[in-house]
Amino acid sequence: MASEKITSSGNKRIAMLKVLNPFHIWALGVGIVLVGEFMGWNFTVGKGGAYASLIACWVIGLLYTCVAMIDSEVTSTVAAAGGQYTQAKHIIGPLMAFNVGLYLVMAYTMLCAADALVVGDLMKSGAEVMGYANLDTKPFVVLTVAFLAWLNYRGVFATLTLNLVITFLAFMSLIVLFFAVDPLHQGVVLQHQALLTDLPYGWIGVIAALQFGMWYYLGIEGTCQAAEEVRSAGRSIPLGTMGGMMTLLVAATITWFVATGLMPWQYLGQAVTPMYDAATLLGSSQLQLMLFVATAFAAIASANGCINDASRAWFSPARDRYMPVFFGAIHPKYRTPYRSVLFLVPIAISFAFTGLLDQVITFSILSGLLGYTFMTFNMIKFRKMWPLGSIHRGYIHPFHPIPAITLLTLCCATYFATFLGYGASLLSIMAFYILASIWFVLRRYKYVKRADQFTMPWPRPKGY
Amino acid sequence: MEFWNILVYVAWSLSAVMLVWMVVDAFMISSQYDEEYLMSSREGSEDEVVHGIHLEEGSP
Repeated sequence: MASEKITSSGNKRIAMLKVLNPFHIWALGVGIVLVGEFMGWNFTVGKGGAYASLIACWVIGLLYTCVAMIDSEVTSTVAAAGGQYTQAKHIIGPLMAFNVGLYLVMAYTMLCAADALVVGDLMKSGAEVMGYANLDTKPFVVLTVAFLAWLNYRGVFATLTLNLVITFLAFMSLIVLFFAVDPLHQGVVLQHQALLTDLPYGWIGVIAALQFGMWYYLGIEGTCQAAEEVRSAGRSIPLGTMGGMMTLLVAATITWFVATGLMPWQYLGQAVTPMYDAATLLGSSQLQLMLFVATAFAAIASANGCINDASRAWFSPARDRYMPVFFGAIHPKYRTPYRSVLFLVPIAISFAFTGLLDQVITFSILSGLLGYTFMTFNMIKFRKMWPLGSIHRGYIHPFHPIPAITLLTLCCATYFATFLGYGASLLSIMAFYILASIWFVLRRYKYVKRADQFTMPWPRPKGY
Repeated sequence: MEFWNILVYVAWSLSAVMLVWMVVDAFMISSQYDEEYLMSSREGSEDEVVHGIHLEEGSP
């Protein structure tokens, strides 16, 4: 046992390891999201029919393409953990940064809880198929969170390499399913001509579907949380994020095409595991098993990415003293924000034990949506403060400010859609963040060392 | 069935082992390293940053 504590010598500082490449970034982004193609997206069908789901798929796809482009440009200049929190701190100000940090932590922690619940439910379904009813899901929920937290605690490379493998396998299962339904010959397996109807609830159903359309892509923006751990943030983050977005657009469209060609919208709109159901309808036990395993892989990859992102989103504000500074520590051996990883474990398990998958997911979606709304103002201000040429950008998104304006417009439409379905949740979540903001201004900001939080080697912004 | 009951116990046990391992390790790190060092990271700057593990055996 060491008799004396090891301290920093001279000006030496600890830092996270820069070991990730664009494939890890792809795995982080797509891994968090892909579970949404296996379940959840189909509630868009329940809201407005099959065509409404396709419109939501592409309209929300446009929203997330804007998110990915904006994120890629800003993050290619901010090689720091915390993602949008760090962007807000540098570009907007401390109150926005605090709120964005909180959105991120809540969004990812709750999504992790929901993913763990899904793993537990899958275990229960598997046990029922094998003749054992009433399997207790709690131990498997806890095991999922504990194992992934342990992996995250011990290093980011292994964590995201696991994500790369299982996310790729889950994605490939969708491709296999696509070819299994003989997509080029309508009427053989797929029955789109018989099953696709007009919009059952009209255009208001299409608007309502936008909220659940977020399931197709929610979490892709999490790629920028790894900016401090990639070998070249300016290259890897844009490559991984935009590649991930393209993957998701393909996966979402395939998912819609296969499911709506096999199941009537009335059933599909309320199915719990639509892709597994699709495999069941094809009558192949191998496909059934593959989709069962792929759904579990997708849920585990999502929970894994969420723990990674939530811990960075908690660590980064803590490092700046926006949150208790205790959580701003890095493990000297594994180089991970280990206290933040540990701190979030009981919170994720507590949310999962409520069993309220609906509410947990709604909180997660709304927190994400608030973050996307912020990004529009952030982007406009970023280009004004640091115009093109004033700072090195690894990626420059085209047609500015059209993506920012499009993003804001689509966010407003999605708020309206959420209000239609979950008005009370929307208002209570807004109230939560307003109360948290008041606490930050009155009680927390006095602990922030204002000069210490800006250590990026950026030039002075225009006009300052 | 016996198998599923055993699986439940295995899941609880593995969870407990991993959670306890992390808590114990976190306490050990706190006792071995100075807090200032553990919290010395800064965003964005590459200079004088320690990558790798050689500081573990380093001396004050």
